[in-house]
Amino acid sequence: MSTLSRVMLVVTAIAVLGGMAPAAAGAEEALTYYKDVAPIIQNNCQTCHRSAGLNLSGLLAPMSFMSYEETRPWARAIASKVQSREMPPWFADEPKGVFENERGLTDTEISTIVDWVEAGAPAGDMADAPPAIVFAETTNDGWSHGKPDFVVKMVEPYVISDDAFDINVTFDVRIPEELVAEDTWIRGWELRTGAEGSGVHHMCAFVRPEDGRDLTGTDESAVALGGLLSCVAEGGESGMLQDGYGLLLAKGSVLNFNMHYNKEPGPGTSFTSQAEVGFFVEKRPVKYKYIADSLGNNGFEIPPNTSNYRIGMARTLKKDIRVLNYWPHAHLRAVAAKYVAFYPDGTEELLLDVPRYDQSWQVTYKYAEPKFLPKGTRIEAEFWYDNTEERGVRRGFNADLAPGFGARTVDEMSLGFISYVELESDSN
Amino acid sequence: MRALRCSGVAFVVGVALVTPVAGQESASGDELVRSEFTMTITQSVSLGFMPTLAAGDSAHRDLLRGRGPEASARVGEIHVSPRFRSGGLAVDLPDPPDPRPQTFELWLARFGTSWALEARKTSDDETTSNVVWGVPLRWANAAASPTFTAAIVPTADTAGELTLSWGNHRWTGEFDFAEAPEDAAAAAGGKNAGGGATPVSESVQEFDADTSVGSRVITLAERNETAIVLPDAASSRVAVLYWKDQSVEHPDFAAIGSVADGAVVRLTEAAVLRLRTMLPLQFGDVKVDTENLAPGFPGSYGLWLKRVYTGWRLVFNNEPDSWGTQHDPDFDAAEIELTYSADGESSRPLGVALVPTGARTGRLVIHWGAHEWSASFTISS
Repeated sequence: MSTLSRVMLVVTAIAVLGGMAPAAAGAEEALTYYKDVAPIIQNNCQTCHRSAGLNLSGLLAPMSFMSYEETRPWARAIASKVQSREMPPWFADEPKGVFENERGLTDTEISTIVDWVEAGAPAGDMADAPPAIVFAETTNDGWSHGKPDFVVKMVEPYVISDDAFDINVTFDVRIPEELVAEDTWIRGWELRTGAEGSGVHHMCAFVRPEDGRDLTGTDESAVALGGLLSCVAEGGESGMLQDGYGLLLAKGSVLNFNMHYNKEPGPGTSFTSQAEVGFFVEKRPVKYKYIADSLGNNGFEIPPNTSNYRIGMARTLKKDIRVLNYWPHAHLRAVAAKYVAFYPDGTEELLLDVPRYDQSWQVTYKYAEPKFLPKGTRIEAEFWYDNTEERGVRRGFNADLAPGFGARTVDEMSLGFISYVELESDSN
Repeated sequence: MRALRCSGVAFVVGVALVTPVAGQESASGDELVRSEFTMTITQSVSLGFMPTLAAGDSAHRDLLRGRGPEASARVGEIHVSPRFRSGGLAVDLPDPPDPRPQTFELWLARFGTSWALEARKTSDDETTSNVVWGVPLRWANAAASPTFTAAIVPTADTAGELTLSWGNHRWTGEFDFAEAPEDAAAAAGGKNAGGGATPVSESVQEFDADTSVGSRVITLAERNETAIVLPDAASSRVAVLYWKDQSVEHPDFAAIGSVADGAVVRLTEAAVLRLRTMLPLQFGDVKVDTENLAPGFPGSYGLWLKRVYTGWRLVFNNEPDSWGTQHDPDFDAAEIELTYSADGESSRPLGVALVPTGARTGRLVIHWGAHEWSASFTISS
């Protein structure tokens, strides 16, 4: 054992013994917000629980935990949610340790929060508080990845009136030449709904060249995924691509804003939305072109009053790819989702298992290191649905109906989004 | 008046006296058995026929026995959407096409030894019927069909055959759907591309709005549908949905020849075929019932072709929205024997036909290239 190791062992032993002694005298008094809880909240909650930035004006999290005063009223709810592991939100059981945005608290962190709440959620001494995190938006006009190189915005605010319940609306905005004078590589983008309140179900942004429409002849442009940049919904996130990866934005492209608003109608519920997309230009060489795609089986019909109903979909790869992320997307009835790779050699691998799918948390599962899948691999995705009265009462849908694909939140979807790059050679 | 000549048969688009035929005075839409093919929400054809038209009826003797220079009989009606073409002739619809489907009387006509199918419109005073369009029919001698039947059999994703049987006659005529004209505004980048202030599309819906039409648009964007509909259309539809674009070039087609005993034909790029029936079906001793998934809900089954040592069987599975690689035998509900042949036209993409053979009988035909699997059934009450 090295000298350093021996020292560490002694230090650890002292720390453990030292920690045990006060426990008998009343450890609960020792736990305070500033000293014990704030570091956990900072590292695991504040990325969403804040008033701006990634929280997309409250689209992700309805309350802010940026201070003791903001956190204290929610203390009991926080304890309950972390104890049940509903928070921080993470719904995939497998695989572990491969997604960069994987969230979760350790058992010790959960105990700390629960014990602190049971002790009355004291503030403690502010001098014990860790330095406040300075989020990018505070210095970048609200943009969470830094100030974009250029921003494309809906031409004017769209009004969602008091009596509106569910609105799907799309707008085209040609990206002016003064912003994109030539074909340009993009390394990231951030979507902002430009709406106050929680009436935005989702926002998707598509780009397409000016000389042709990728959107199909339906009024549900989310089905026509050509040129999809990304979507944000409850629990969704924007992000930057890895080094060497880029989206090619052609000169003269048209940016399509697909907005879905959903709220309870009533006096005083109206709001406006003027969505925008901030683009970050990649000036370094780009080797791999970003593709946003989806697996789909959209002709389904979920029988009324049934549980555990499966909808499947698949795609066989025509090229080697590296997967960047998965975004299983469904609505209120969905309870589970799964992606599996069936390799050309006959083996298979679980790519993503989400046994507790929750429409309220549209998580994009982003690889820390892009996942190589060889040509000939078949990716299968499956969703399971619970169209029972019990769930319908809780979630707000009519279980006596047999929903098919539809844009409304009370209709259903079954889309296995997947973003990837195609590789030119067979090398991985 | 203009004359159209096609395949040696001359059609006079003009006026014919309405000569009611025995047994068809009440050939209204309410009493017809229909064979339907739907390609998209705006491209469909429905062929309705009177299942009681007896070949032995004296009123049809001249027509069927070739007596006299020409004869005709009203056999039902046809319901077509714009861009329907038959026998190389586009249906004479307004330009630009009226988006609403149009219904015509359907007449079987003989000119000497040539046969034609005519679509007619009866005049307002019901004294004359105008031939709107007509197509030549190929004739063949066939096994006896005591009553008239008509069916639509898809032969491609956008085309098929109109197949008629009556007495010892069998006639076929081809149809297809013309490509939709490209929308100039869309081709130019959208109606308001770059404008931005006006929505490209806007859909405002209430909680209890019926969105089934929208769902069907989406469904038919990826699948075709073939159906038999009995006279009580609202509650008697039997339909099979199958994925488009499953050509004989696809590796799945080549793999049919090597499907192992006990295994099913897999579709790697398509969902499983889906049967949706509002009435129970009887395949020999096997009943394929409604309400297999939910009380009061039509029968909804995935259809799987299963290789067995002695031939082929059809599996009805209780997971109708599985992908074509996700057969789970735990959900199998029934199995029937299939008649198999490899004599079909070799370039046909995967297709399904529900062929009426009588008032409440039919034949389920699945074909892919030269392969053809089929089974007869009765539609129960």
